Amino acid sequence: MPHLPADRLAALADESPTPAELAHLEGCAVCREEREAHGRLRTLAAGAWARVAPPITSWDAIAARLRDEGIVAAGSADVADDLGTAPGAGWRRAAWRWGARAASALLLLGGGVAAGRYSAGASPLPRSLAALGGAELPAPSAPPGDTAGNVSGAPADSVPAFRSQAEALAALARAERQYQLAATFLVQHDPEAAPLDDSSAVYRTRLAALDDVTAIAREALYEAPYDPVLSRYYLATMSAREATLRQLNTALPEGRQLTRF
Amino acid sequence: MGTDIAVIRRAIAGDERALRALWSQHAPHIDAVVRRLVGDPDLAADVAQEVWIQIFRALPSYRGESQFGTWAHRIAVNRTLNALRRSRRLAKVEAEIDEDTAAVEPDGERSLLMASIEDAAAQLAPGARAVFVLHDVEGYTHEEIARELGITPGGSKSQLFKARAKLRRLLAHLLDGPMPASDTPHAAPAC
Repeated sequence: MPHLPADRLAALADESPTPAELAHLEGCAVCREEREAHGRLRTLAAGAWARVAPPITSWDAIAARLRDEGIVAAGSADVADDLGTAPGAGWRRAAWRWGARAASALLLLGGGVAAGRYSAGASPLPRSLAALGGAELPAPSAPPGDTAGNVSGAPADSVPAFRSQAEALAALARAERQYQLAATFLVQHDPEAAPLDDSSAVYRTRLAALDDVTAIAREALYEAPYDPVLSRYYLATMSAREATLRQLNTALPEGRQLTRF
Repeated sequence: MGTDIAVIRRAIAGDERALRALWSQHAPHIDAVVRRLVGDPDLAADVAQEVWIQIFRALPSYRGESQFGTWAHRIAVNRTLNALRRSRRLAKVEAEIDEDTAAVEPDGERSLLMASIEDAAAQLAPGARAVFVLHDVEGYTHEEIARELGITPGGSKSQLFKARAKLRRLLAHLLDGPMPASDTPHAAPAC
């Protein structure tokens, strides 16, 4: 009997062979191997669904279209919901957004500095801050009427009594912002830290680290796609990456533009 | 899930941060399915952006009956196929695969061995790629594919098997098992 046609062997990856085909397969190693190869192809294809890659879309481009179409509410910005729409608010929102991006970048840097100090046996805080007697950082200022936002004042292992998910999320957002600001402050006011080299090598090293962190965060998000902490962590890392890319562009020699990292 | 619904509500209200959060969470999957269906990376980027605009336009109609990712995924597939139709890449779905598959020379394929199944699928004709991706990667049935592409379920099956046969050759280096069988052209007259 001739070999089974290639199309038929492809079909047998998920169809049952006829009795005649079965008899042929039992006696023909070539066709059997072909059928098994198609089974492996099927497995490979099914596995491709779970494989993800960095997005091929850019949020900036999408956001511009959404603004043009009025899908983004007037006065809404990606990070600064609370700056209002007073004259000059647009500029302040942009400044705030850049500040937040820088804070995100510095958050990772600050974490690295603190971790480095700690692993080297030193206090995570610079001496200038330690000299304050280990005073606690000021508690985040809660908005009027906020009764559940006293996160920093609560014992570390206690569970604050939030009345709703919205309240908990608001507290989380405030804590996140305070954390970023504190990390920024620590980095900016550390007299022992070596000054940052402005060469592109620093930014490239940072980008490589951020890419690693992004990849890990993305993988984690696919395990737990609705985890708000992972989501925020991923967003912060992506923001830091965007900021670093822009910094890297400005650090390159005049006339050179970064097109690929 | 609860968090996602809260984010979706804010996104429907036009909160850019929430819209961005949805994009950040789901872009790796949504963009991936667009890329697989389209094949060409440049066109895929354009189509994916349009897909996201469509997803956000349709957001107020999301009722939470399925997970947001599933709902958005369905929009992504529909809109990508529409985009391919508009660009006439799916114009001759039934005919193209026969011609395309028949035109492949075994020696030419050997130099085109692909690094991954996605690279290999990008070598398929658009209609064949759509059928393969929808069935073997996305898990659509032949009936669903037939409805999406305007062909018969039998036509979908036929194209799928031809697409698999071509992919099997393109990915021989990944798929060949320990048995030394693949060098034999698989239309040999007898065992």
